[in-house]
Amino acid sequence: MSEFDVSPFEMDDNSLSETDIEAVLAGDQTAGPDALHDLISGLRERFEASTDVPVGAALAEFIDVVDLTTTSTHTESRRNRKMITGIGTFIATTTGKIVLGTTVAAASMGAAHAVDMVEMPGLPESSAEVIVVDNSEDSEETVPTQAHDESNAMEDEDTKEDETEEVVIKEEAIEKSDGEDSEGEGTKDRNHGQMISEFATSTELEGCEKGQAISELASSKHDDEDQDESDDAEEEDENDDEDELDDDSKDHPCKDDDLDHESEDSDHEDEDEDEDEDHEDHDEEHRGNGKAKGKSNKPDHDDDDDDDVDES
Amino acid sequence: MSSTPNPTFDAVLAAAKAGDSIAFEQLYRMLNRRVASFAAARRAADPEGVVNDVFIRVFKNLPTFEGDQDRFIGWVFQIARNRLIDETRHRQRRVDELLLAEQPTTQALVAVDDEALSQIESERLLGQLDCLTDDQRDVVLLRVVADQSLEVVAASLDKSVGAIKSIQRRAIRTLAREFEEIVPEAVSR
Repeated sequence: MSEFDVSPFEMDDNSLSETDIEAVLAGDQTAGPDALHDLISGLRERFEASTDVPVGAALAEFIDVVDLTTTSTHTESRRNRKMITGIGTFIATTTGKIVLGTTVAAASMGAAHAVDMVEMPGLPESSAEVIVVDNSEDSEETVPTQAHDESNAMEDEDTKEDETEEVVIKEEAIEKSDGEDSEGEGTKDRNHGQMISEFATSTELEGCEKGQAISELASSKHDDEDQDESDDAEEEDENDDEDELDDDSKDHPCKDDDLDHESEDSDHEDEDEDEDEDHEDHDEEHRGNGKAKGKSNKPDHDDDDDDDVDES
Repeated sequence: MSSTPNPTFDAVLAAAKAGDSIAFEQLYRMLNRRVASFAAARRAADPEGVVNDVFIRVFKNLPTFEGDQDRFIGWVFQIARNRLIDETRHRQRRVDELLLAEQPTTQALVAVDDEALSQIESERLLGQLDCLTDDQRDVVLLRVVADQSLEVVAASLDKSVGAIKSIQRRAIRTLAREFEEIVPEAVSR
């Protein structure tokens, strides 16, 4: 071509359609010179990015991922969102609502049982943890187990509660270490022996405390009133003897024990000859039965004292 | 790139304007590679840094943006183009690199690694675009390297679609004339 010739690409725009230009820009090698095709294809191959550009610290303020190439955080956030969406979709269904309602109901029942508002048979009794404040040194908080065991042993629910209360009461009695029987009056209507045996077998107490507890419980029986009276009389005699010892000399024969009374019957006769008339009946009793003497002498001792005073 | 309305993109754009970081990430994933390619073809010293700077500006000014998908992409490349113009104006030390790239075939190189060869080839290709004006070069690179439509390129250069068609036509003709200077010499013989 000469310098006056015009190439097709220098001709009027009407000779070069948009389609040809678009074809060249798209990389179509059938249109335009080969050098132009090489340029277009070369630019695409050299400068086309294959991986995402890492996010810098400043840009990370807008985007929650530091490095898009790892995509772990992004995937995790998407996964969390998908999970939440899935759960919400499930709850929206009928089955999901039923499951959710059942779960809520079970949780509320459990909470109610924990605060003793509702009694659940399958769950452990939280009330067993209550109670008996055992101030003793070796308190093992065995009452819960004890109460639970006793409740399982009893058939009647009312008696269960009564037994529990009774055990609680008895242990408190142990702590107080007194012989009060007023609290045992509540067991009058029941088999006292059975109650004592159950307590003895179920109690967690050991040794002295256990025996003391059992004795205290047994001492609350009404059939033992006579024995109690005799015990009380013995106690009073002992108290009287002590009083006499304080007032009179120690060698006074009446201050001695029963055995001393028996052995010193003759002394009584020798020392108190003037009082034989008053003591004859009593001496015979002394010889025969020391206890009878001790008991019967109670009023006689008083009379003797009076006689002594009169004679003196 | 399609110029038809994209409801998905509109939703993402609205969420990003509201401050949703996930929407920001989606927009970033959509354009970061193409912005990096355009920056590299424009001989940016740090194409990845340019990408980060561009998107920081985009996210900061996003609440004030109004438009569809093509206009948004064009707006992103406009920011990238302005960023690269500023870098070119302050780039003085690359003159030696350009001089070195101009005579790769004539210089006898003792030992050159693959990366250097690749860089030399890239510089050779870009050197063929030096006969174009800045607008013609950017149109060609946006169409070829960034793979953008006429509408996006028009938004990037803040010109009409007809103007972009005219610019790219002249660019192709200029490139062809440069190649024709070699071919006509062969044909005339």
